[in-house]
Amino acid sequence: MQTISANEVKKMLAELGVSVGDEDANRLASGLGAILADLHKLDEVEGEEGELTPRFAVEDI
Amino acid sequence: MKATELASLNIGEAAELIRKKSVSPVEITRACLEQVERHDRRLHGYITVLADSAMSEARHAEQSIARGEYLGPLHGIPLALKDTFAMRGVRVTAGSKLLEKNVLDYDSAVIERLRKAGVVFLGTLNMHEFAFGATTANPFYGVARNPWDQERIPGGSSGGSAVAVAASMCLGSIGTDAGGSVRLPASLCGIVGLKPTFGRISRFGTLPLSLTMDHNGPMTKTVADAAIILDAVAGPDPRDPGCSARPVSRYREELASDIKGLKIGLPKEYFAEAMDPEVRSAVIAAVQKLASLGAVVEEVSLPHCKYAPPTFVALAMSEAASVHARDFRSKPGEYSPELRDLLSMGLLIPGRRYLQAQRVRTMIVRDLAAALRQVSVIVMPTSTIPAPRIGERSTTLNGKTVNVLAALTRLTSLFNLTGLPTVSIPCGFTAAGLPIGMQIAGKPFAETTVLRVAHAYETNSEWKDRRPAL
Repeated sequence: MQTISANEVKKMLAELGVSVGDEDANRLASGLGAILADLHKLDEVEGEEGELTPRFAVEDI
Repeated sequence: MKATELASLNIGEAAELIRKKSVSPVEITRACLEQVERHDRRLHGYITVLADSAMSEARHAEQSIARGEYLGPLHGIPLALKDTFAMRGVRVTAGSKLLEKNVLDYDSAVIERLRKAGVVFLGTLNMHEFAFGATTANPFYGVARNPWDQERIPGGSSGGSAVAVAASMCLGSIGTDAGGSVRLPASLCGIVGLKPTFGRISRFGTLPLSLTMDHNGPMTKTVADAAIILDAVAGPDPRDPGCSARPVSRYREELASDIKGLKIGLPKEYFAEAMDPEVRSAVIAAVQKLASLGAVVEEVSLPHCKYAPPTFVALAMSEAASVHARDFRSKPGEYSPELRDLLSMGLLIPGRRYLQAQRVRTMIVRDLAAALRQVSVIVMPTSTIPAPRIGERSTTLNGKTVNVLAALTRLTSLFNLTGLPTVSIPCGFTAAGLPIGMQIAGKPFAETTVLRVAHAYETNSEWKDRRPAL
């Protein structure tokens, strides 16, 4: 699991205008760490990703 | 006909009786309101009941029909929609405290089109707060309960819609689906849920969650009913930039049940995954039934779909955080602790990950495109598990402990990422009496094909007439 500290979470959220207490920051750090670790799976296809298209619908399949 | 029998009619049956003037919209509306009165205190399907205006609309429909001004199969039919569609003069909360006094002065495209079709609006339905979750354990408007087992969740986020349809507290509904929120509750509550192609139904006036994955979709007792609602609400709308300009089909009229020679794909990767054994055998049996009706079943491969869950998480959490950024910063106390956590984490997902997810998304789209060149539709379970107990956070699958939310949504988000039309229909029950659903997905704008396969199965199975004992 990727680690991110409660202090980092608190600081980053404060920069975005959201304030959280210590207990919340601890819980968020744990949850966010798990999510970011999961997102690392996307690196497995690094370099072979599809094009970035402004059309998210699927009309051209 | 008794009131309970009237309320348990499907739209097609009720429409035929209304058209022939054998039954009045007033009688059917009253019957549904009596069901609400009888059961909703416990089930929590509704947020707002519009009893007086519904009866007035029903009387108006009755008079119009008596004058020979019959508008079609939704005229005088009592529906109730998820509490997320703007409706002139009615409070629309999106299941939130933030919007508890939110009365709008305009109609969403969906409401506008249903009004033109002569629908009677019974009220607005419970949902997961801001559609960001799958349980409909709503902290402000009540914990919605599954009519098949009231200790279990109905799914979400359109949980109230599934509860109200399954419990005959309305004849049909429309929900929203950004990650499975129409199909999942439909599956857990034993009804039909259709997520059409991205852009097929206008989202003008629908409160957003995920701008690139939000869809509106009918939730009904039968496939034909879903086609009837789709006929009324599908089509171009310049007020929604994501809405397609493509012309619509006549979904109800084109609903056939002949599937001889039609190719059905089973994605081998998904059937290899951890899944409740009763869900797996019900879906396999349903596929065998489709084969016995003349469909040709083939295995297909979706190699990049293992990346669908993280891709979905990166997009859904970032987009939801973006939608709510301003209100969340200024009024955090108006959100539940659960939403505060989700939105906080969504704000902290790096932009690099969001863009990477959009690019992986196109690889997933390509996989689906290749599979759908080989077959006409793809079939898989809607959820890997039947309805969990209220408050249950983990369950055991193949001896492993898995997160309930992940097990519920693993198979649905794929079709939000790709935007493909997908319907969930009942395909059996567990030994404990819980509904099981399967999803049928097709090519872009091939709603007619998807509905045809669903209708063929439904017509040749025994599930559509089962109702929960309340």
